[in-house]
Amino acid sequence: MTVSFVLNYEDVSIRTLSMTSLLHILRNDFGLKGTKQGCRNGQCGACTVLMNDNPVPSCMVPAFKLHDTRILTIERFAKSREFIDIERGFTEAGVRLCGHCAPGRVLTVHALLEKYTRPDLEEIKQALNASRCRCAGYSALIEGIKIAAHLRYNRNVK
Amino acid sequence: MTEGKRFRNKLCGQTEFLSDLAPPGCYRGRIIRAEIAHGKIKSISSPDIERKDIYCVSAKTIGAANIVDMIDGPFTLLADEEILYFSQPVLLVCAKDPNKINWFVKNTSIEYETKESVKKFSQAPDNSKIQREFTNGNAKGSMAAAAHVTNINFQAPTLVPYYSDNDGAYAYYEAGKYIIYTPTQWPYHVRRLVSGALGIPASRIDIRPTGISRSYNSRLWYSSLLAAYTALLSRATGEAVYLEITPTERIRTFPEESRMRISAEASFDDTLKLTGLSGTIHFNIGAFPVLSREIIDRACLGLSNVYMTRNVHFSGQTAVTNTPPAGTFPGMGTAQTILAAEKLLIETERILNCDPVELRLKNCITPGHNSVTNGKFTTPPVIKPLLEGVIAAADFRRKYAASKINRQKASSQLHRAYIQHGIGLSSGYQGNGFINKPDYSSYSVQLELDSKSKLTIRTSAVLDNPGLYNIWKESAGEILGISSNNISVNNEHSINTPNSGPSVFSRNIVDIHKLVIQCSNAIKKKRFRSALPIKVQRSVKKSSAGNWNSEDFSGFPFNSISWAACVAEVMYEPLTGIITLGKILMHIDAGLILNEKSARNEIEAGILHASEWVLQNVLPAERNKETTEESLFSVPGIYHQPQIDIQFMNSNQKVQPKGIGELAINTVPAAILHAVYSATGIHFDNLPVTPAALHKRTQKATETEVSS
Repeated sequence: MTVSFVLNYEDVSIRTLSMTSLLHILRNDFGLKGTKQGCRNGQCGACTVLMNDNPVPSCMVPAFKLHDTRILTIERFAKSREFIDIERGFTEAGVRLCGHCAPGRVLTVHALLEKYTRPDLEEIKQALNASRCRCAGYSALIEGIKIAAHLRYNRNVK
Repeated sequence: MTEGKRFRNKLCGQTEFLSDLAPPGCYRGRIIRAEIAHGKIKSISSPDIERKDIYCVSAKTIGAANIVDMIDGPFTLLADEEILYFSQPVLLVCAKDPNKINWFVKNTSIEYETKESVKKFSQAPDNSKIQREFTNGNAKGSMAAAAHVTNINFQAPTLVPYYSDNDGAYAYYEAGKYIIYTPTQWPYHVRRLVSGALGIPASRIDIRPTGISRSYNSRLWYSSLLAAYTALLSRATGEAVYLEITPTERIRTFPEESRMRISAEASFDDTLKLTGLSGTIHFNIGAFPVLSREIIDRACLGLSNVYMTRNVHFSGQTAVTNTPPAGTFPGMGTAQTILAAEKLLIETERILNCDPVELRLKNCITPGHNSVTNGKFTTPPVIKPLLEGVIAAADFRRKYAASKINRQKASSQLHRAYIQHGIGLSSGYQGNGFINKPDYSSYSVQLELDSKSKLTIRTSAVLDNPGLYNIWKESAGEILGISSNNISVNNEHSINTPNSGPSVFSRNIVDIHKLVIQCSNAIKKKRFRSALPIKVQRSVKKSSAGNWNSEDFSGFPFNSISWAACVAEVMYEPLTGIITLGKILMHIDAGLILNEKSARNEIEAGILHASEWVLQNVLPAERNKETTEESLFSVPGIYHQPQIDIQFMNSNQKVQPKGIGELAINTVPAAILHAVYSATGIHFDNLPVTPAALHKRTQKATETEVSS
């Protein structure tokens, strides 16, 4: 089948099998390896991308569901001002990440901050519940998200 | 690369992990494994692969040595005639087209002659067992004369190996060298093993560690084995080969991380002073020993934990069985036996109904005491002030008394449905440095100051914690008056770096950091006297500082010791059997803390891992069958994280950093188990404490009550 969708703000179409995962398409057909391959089971959150602005595990999205969707991956998002806010927030809070789950988490945080200007603890927990990693605890991450929210809010107000 | 750039690369997904490396269309390898636990290979029939672009390597065609030196001794790469464990690799196969591999696997049949297999320690023949004995004083006499003796017997829980990345390697041959990418904690070990497998000098092998998750010690040697397989396939094809172990294959075949059964007894006088300790540790090492001597010795030492008695007798036994080789694991035996030592105190408290605080404070090591092996501590033990601090900060005595009253009330049907709160106390330590195998304890670091005053730190140490790069740079920069921006760390290619040993036991912060400082001071002395560039290398060969004799367990075994005391608070819902970890409070003395944010992150990760070990982690009972991947990824998420309060009590700012990586896994499990006892009145022998396990125990208690 041929699927057409918007990938990183560009119209694309690709011929693939209907059950091929979005993760496979991104990594193998478009060479976007910033989306990491983790559990392949939708549980670890390493392969998270934004689909119509919502975080989804790309390993669980089949090609036939891609029609007319908007997909944003870390490669494009890393060029945005919003990314710099998150990077600064994480750096200031001393967030420690191995780099495997990090791109997925950054996109999850972006989606959270798009939804809530100043997310409270419960909102942060709900957003991050889909991302599992043994690299570090969550305290610094929560702090980093709060700083990033503050930076983004101040920038938007200006 | 600057630290900021390194962090940015991680966030952007630019850090290369193993699964990112395989170029499209390269050869992909697969391991065909034995399907019996013990027996002989009668015949292998595989399809004709001539002109089919499929390559296969077996023990017969391996070319160089099929038996390599794997730390503790010989290790068979591919099963030749005898199968020694289920899932032992028999054939390596690779092709560019995965369908061709599937076709080959489908049409390959291995006929076996099955033999009786030994899976448990108790079934192993005596001649396969290695015994380690340690005696000090008269433990037997103290047991006979004691006012009270406590016994425990428990199986240390198995840890499920979890990584979000694949295991495996990517190898190719270029300009006379084999280039191998693999996630490893010990590049020089990979190099040595690949050199042995290919029968070529180590100088022709360049190991490039890929991105690695937080080190869990399993990548100490298993990556080396997978790298050797990949290199063998690369030699067979003459091209690049990518070998990947999928999560399902990993859980079926990965070395288990703990198979220790511990029975121990402690004797007390009528004032509850510990008078003697004895214990037996049975460690099922699987088909091949890998670091088993180190693990069993550390386990023996851990049994006395932070408590002092003159009469001890520990016996550690390892047995070879027809199971996959036991992996190395967090704590390397110490975490398991510290938990056993703390269980002895919980059991004593349960039987004698005594005060847990007094029991610990009365028996913990204080300054002036020697270690249980009669060695002098390198810095005075500070466990008593840590315990007193954490008890006061957690309001332990009041909360413990309240939970005791609640527990008594809950024994009546009326209160049985109410949520019960429990609080637990524990203490522990982390011993830094290897205590055996001094040849593996030698390590070097090289610093070079070039003509443009740029400093390069060369080390083969693998860092899971990027904060360490900054710590090294800042320390060297401070000594030499160079900005951190002009200092780089080169640890990416083993061929350009000196052997810095395995990255384990917090050595990167304790030893490598020390060598960086030594090299910096040496350059400082030469600077302005010698022409640039100045290159300095410093090495450490001694494994420990305290005249340690590993043959008779005498002296002080570790380079240094970090101490911790911990309080855990849990909530128990009797209706559902769910235990929720509410709060962890830890007081830590680990010498100078160079980067507090990074240290907190490290401890927090350890706390989550420890809670998973005690409350959640279940390895599928039938590893041999296909397992679902859900079990592999049942790791704690953000909702499982308790409230965490960590205090670094640096008793002596002049003390060098001592390492914290394993403090949480050594200390927290016992506190959680004690808190579970405090909430439920049940002291669990087997872990994890799942709702099903709790239900079973409470039902048993209710049936006894009803029948009486």
